[in-house]
Amino acid sequence: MNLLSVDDLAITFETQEGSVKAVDKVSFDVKKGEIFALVGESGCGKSTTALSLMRLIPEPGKITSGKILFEGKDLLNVSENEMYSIRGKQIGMIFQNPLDSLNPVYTVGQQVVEGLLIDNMPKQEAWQRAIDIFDDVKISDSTQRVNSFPHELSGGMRQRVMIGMMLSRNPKLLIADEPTTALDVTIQAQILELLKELREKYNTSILVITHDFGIVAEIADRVGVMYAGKMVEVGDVYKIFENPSHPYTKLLMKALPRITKNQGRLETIPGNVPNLAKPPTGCRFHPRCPFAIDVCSKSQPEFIEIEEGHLCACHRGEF
Amino acid sequence: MSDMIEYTIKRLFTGIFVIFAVTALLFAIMQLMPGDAIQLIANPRVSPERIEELREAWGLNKPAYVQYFYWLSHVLKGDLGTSISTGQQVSVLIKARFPYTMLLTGLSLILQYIIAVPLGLITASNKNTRADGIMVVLTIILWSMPPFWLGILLMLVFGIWLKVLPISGYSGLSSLILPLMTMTLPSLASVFRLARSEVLEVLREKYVLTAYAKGLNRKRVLTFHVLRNALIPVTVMFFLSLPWLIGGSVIVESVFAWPGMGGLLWKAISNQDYPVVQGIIFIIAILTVISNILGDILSAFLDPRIRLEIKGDNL
Ligand SMILES: Nc1ncnc2c1ncn2[C@@H]1O[C@H](COP(=O)(O)OP(=O)(O)O)[C@@H](O)[C@H]1O
Ligand SMILES: [Mg+2]
Repeated sequence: MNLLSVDDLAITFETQEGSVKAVDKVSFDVKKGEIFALVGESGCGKSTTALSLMRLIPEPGKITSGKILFEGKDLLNVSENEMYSIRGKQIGMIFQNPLDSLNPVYTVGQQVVEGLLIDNMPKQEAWQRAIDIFDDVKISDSTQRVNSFPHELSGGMRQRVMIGMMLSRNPKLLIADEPTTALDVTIQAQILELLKELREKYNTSILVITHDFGIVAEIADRVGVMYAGKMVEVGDVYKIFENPSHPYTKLLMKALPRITKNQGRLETIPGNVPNLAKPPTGCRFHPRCPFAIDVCSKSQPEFIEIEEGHLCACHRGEF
Repeated sequence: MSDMIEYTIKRLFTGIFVIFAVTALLFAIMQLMPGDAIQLIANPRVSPERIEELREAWGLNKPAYVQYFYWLSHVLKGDLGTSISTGQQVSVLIKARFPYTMLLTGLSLILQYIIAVPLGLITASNKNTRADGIMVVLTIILWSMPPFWLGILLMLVFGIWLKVLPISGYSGLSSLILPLMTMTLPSLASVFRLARSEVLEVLREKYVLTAYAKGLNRKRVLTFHVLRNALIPVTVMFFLSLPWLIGGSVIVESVFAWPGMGGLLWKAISNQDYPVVQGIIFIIAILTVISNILGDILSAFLDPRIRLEIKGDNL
């Protein structure tokens, strides 16, 4: 059963340099209880996609077409007032940098309680709940810690607070945009462990965004690979690892830091993500693709079902 | 909390030092000015011997540092001296005028912030609307008006053409309106611009996005998260601007013959009546130091990061 169904979503930023098509006809589903990973290099439109699910894309971004079906309801047709009751309550979101995601002038407890009070929970109960949540996200000394200010906590702790805060109202979906990118490796692993554990405990689906296939391997059930505003490959995580079909996916997996660590060299994909104000014709990856042939620069590839539960948009996907 | 008290005491001590440094500096500057008060007030027919006598009586022939310590020792006893040009007690002169200046500057300060801060919040959170654009242009115009010029303009319009408001002196509260407007409008514009730019800056912060993602509505986000953070620099500005306002009141009070300290200071400077000048600057220095300390304490109260710094400094 799909909790979230994104259908042909397109988002444009009108800038001086022209319209930046940050997200172009992207479709994917997040099923109940699963962890879905959106993966791709920086600038591919992952964060924009994530923010659009909350209807929080910054100016001058506009959703130009598509549907965002959450439990069957199209969030793009919902009033701003109704969105207030969806954000936090139905969908929570945490961000890349926990250092600036929390308000510096309030204690972390106040910030968690503030969310709980939206549901008219009595104040005392809310504080108790905040302490319990801190226990859930494994912050030791939770009774003391609720009274800390964000700058008194480490980056990992702050991300725990963010996770707790966003899970406190039991949302059905948690969006985690690069939740561990700003943290060091040991803390990264702990946070990923925590997310997996809390998914069970809170019975939440998670949409995790990352540029790192290592994280995908560690936590995702299914994965969508995004390149330059387009979804290029979607599938079950083990199928994609076993049989990566899009050249971009293959190269991205090779650039996987955890594998290359032993080999001593990190392979990066030559070239850069194109300027999305003027994306390449045809397949957007063709200028960087080692397998590109004539047709790749001429027509956009459609999704092909490689195997059950595994789609790929590549003219040469069969290789 | 005890950190805050320790910090305040430390600041008070440096403040006292600053106050006396300012008065000493002022004393030195007054010495550099050509001529002296006796020359200015004495009738040309007074004999040079008599002038010398007067100088001696006022201690003006002593070296500058002796004069300064003489002044200082009296101040510590609570005596600000006597005006050379009128012979009145400086403390009496100041006491009579101090309330008028405080009324004018205090009201002006409060009006500026009460109007400008909400306006800054509203326009910044509706950026790129027509109302925002109009406010920005309007405040640039106000801001670039010299107070002197604005004062005369207001006098012309309300006092001379419309004849609805008194233009000079003090004859009841209606006399307050024009000097208050002259003093408030340009500063209000600058407070508005500060508040607006601070709000715009806070609106770009990640924690504002977090607040929305949590499910808070716009009103709650703007007042509880945005305004609260934007108020920190605005509060500092509030307390820092008090001495500038009193400085500015010299011009405004002179233009409108407002019976405050500014007008008194203006006259005392032209007469080189140094006990009066010293006395007024001494009072302004005290106000400045106190408002700086208050500003720092309040910003520490508003911003836990500053509290942490204070704690760190005291360790
Ligand atoms: N506020 C914005 N204004 C203009 N362009 C933007 C803005 N935010 C994102 N973009 C553009 O959208 C594209 C996708 O950005 P983003 O969603 O942040 O990518 P990712 O999260 O995958 O790194 C980029 O080309 C970026 O330039
Ligand atoms: Mg991003």
